[in-house]
Amino acid sequence: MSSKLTLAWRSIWRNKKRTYITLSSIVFAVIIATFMRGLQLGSYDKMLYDAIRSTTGHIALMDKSFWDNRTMDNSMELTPELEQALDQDQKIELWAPEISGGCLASVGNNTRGVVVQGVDPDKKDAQIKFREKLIEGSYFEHHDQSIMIGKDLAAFLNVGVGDTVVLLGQGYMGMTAAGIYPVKGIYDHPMAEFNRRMVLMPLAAAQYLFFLEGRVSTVNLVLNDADDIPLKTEFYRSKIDTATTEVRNWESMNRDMLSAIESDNFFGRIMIGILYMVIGFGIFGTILMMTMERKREFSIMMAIGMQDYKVITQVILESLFIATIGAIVGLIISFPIVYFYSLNPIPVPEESAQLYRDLNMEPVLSISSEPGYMVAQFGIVLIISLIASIFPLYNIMKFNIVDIIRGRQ
Amino acid sequence: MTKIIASVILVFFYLQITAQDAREIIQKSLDLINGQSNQGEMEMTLVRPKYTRSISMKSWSLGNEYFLIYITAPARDRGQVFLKRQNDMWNWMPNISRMIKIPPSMMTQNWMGSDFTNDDLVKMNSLVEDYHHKLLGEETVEGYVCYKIEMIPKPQAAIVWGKMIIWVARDEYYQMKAEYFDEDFQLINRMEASEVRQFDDRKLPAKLVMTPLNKPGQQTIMNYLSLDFDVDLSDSFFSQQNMKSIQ
Repeated sequence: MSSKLTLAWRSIWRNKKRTYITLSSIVFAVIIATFMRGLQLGSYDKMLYDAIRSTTGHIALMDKSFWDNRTMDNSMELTPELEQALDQDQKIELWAPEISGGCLASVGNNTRGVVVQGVDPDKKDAQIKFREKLIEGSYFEHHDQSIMIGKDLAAFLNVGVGDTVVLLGQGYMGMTAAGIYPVKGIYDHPMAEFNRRMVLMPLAAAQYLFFLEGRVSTVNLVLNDADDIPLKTEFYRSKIDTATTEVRNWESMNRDMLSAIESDNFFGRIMIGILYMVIGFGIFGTILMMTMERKREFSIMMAIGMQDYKVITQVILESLFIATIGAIVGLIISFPIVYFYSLNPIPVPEESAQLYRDLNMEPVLSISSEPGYMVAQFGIVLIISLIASIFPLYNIMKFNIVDIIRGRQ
Repeated sequence: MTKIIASVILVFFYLQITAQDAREIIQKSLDLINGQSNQGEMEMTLVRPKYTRSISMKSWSLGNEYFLIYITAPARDRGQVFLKRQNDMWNWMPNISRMIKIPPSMMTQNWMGSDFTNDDLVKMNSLVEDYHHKLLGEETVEGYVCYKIEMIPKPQAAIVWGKMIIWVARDEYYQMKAEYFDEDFQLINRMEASEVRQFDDRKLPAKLVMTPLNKPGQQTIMNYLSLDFDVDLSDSFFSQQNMKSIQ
């Protein structure tokens, strides 16, 4: 076997130019494919991670009707026992109780429909590093009867820190939820919707405003390990009244996002497929050239008694060699770059950043550094080179040895 | 030929009479409920699948033009006032010191989370002026023989219902029952009156139950606790100024 490898190794370097051309096309393809795929997978991961961490959690507890009809009437009871169980749970990274409801926010003659969120200030900070996003005023505390608003909303209502905003909406049992709240802080969140339409207040203040004493809209749980989802779903199902309350997992709460990812992923795969098709033809050409160039050589070897399958193994080994070297070099070049950018997401240029914000995404390009998809590139290149050698090999089998040796073909 | 013309005229004449009749019946029932002016106290109970709660209020009205409601309970809603003046409606919210004008487009919104609409409450639309009336016959409701009257909104009237059917007691002119249909003539809401008792100088049903048929387990019950008619009120009582000071 080792002599065969040596022979194959030497054969590919007999025509260096050809080998280099093939190698460079494979290397190039692997780098481009890794980058494309990495950007794609990275943006999916980021979208899901952001969504899970900042809003839905891996699992969430809520009233059975809440998901379809997000009113205060469909809130759930947050009992001290449940709170205790959540606090003591080692497998939870953080859990966040939340109230959210539509309101009118009004100052003078300016009024806008907003989403009022009652949150735990510390937990919100742990979720989305909220404290860092503050640009004016100070961060809200648990006992405050004040609100935090986004910079766009502040500009629209023409308010600064210390000014008051009237909130008017509908609370639990259809009661009128109305109150005047001073602005404690103004934040700049990368997501546009957050800046335009979000009003945050401490949970207790929101419970008072919406008549929800002891109740919340949802409890979102971010787990340390996503593998624990089924286990924890079962566990919390036993802690709640399943007649009225349910445990939802992140897949069911991010269905729109998942299906968007799925369709985007489909087109991404097609693009990569096209890329590899181009590469495939390159390899095909090289191998075909390799066999045609050496028609005489192969014919003579077969004429003096070498069996066809040995010749074929030789050719396969050669093409595998080229593919392997190409893939390895490609990965060696792309891995450090991918790894670097996965740690330092590429900021989107300001012209297109607004588009990202309008789509409620942070304007950065993140690359996944999961080894899985990179190894997959390796496998794909090998398979392609095998497929590309089918026709040249078929050709070898049909050699008319006599004609070739005589130079008639 | 003359016979045909005569009968056509007769039919027209007959239709005219019945239309007049139906309209008059509605007018009489409204006169009975509203009087020249009135003042009352009522309690509204919201029945929902998950809870039941009550709202207490006082009301004043003068003719068809002026109407004022003051919420007395629950504590957090106390002091809210709704005022209708001719074609405008306002809501005063003392805890945020805001006077909110309720636009005509919100007349069909639920009032205070109940199954009554703003319009049901302040009767912005006139049951007499804004509908074509047609007497369908007589039926017995809650032991009262009632006229069954179909009401189709006039095209220019700002009414969401496709049609309404009202049962008005033949002798007493109580509005015993009303059904509200949407544009496709699907039954949406049913209102039923009961518990007739003495209020001031007249008898009236003390209990109105509004049931939305597409929302199971949901109901709003309005109980009249007291009603005084032809009280001394002037239109200056129904002012934005008074909304803020009324108790």
